Amino acid sequence: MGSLSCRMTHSGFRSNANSESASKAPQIIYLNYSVKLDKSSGEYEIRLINKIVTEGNLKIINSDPEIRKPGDLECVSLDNNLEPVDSIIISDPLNITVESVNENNALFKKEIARDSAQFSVRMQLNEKIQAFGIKKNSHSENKNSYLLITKLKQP
Amino acid sequence: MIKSVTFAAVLLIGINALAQQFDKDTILYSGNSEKHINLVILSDGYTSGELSKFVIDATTFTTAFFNKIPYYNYKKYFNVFIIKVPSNESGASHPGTATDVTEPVIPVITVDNYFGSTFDYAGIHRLLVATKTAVISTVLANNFPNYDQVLILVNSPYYGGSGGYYTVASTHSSSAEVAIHELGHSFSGLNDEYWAGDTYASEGINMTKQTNPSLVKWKNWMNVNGIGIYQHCCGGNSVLWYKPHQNCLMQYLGTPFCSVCVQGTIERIHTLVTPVESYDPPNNAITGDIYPVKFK
Repeated sequence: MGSLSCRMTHSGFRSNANSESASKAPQIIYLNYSVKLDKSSGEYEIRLINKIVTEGNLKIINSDPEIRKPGDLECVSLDNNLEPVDSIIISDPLNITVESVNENNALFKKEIARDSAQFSVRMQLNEKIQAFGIKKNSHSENKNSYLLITKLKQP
Repeated sequence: MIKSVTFAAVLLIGINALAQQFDKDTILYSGNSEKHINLVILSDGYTSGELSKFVIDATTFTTAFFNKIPYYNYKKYFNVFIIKVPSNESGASHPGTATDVTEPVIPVITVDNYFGSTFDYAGIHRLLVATKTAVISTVLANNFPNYDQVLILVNSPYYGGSGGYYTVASTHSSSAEVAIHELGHSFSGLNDEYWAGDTYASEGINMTKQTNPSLVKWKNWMNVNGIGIYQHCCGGNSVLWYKPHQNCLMQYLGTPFCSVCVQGTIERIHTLVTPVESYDPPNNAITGDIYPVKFK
């Protein structure tokens, strides 16, 4: 199977690196998480599946959802002191909206509740960012409110 | 605790094992990916022997996409790339568990495809969802991290698709319409023009509570190309909300985007890429004393 090391790619595609690069090329981080509902506490249990750092520029920053819900999560990029640098809203991964067509070919939307799910975050990196915290969007900026903190240099 | 740690470890190994490069191809190349909007199409349910069919199917979708205005007029702003991800088995799963139809509408089958695409998601027959979100994200990170939009094309002839974090469509001829509608949400930020429910009502490009024709956000389009202020229907708070057209793709499949949605999409394109790719002479100021100065 392939490795996570640098590799050349098709013209127009970006090269890829899993570790911190000495170059000043702009970088993107992908963070993949699993989330599970603890039914006894009602809290979300979040685990990091993997993180991938790669060169590249984002034209589209993951835009915040138009309508925020209580279960929405927030991914906050953090500096050395765990102070927020930037953040994006992640629609509640355990209560998702799907859109499809019915037998009359009419569009419809539906809310679906799940006990567990995966979700992904893609953000532009900069030199200040040292970690990422996931918290409930409704929670305060208190450092203790993070459900999970992922350090950039963490293996 | 041990059980969950084991689960996490297995999951991690599984995802990392998938962190690999796949063959790619270019369906449409208009220029440098930094200066163009990059639509990336991933295959699911195509075996390695079916990847040539994926190229044909992705080309068919691309043709349908660029037959829609405004994409038709703005084709040169886009690149379309495909990532050829082979699956162990062909097609999409169909568990036969939908409750909105009398099953089995199509044969019940479990398919070992790469991104976990399945019909009958959440009991809805045509809801075709690629369930392995982290696998999709990992493939994108390792193959085209700076994508702008993603479509997962599923090798199934049955009608189905979905929106959400990633747009999914089958190869059925009508599925492209669903995908283009979904891209209206994820790319252009358009609201639905059918009444999806109170939860989804918000001020947007093509949705408002404003009823004054001189104040409504699409006032410059009033009485042109069928644009007006049309009350939503039916149920909930629908009577409080208005849309600009009565027959837009954001309401009905198989129709064009209304002029307001066309404008919103064009504005979105221009926020992402500049219409000026380069200029010559490469100066930022007018210099010299020979006039007129020629630019191109």
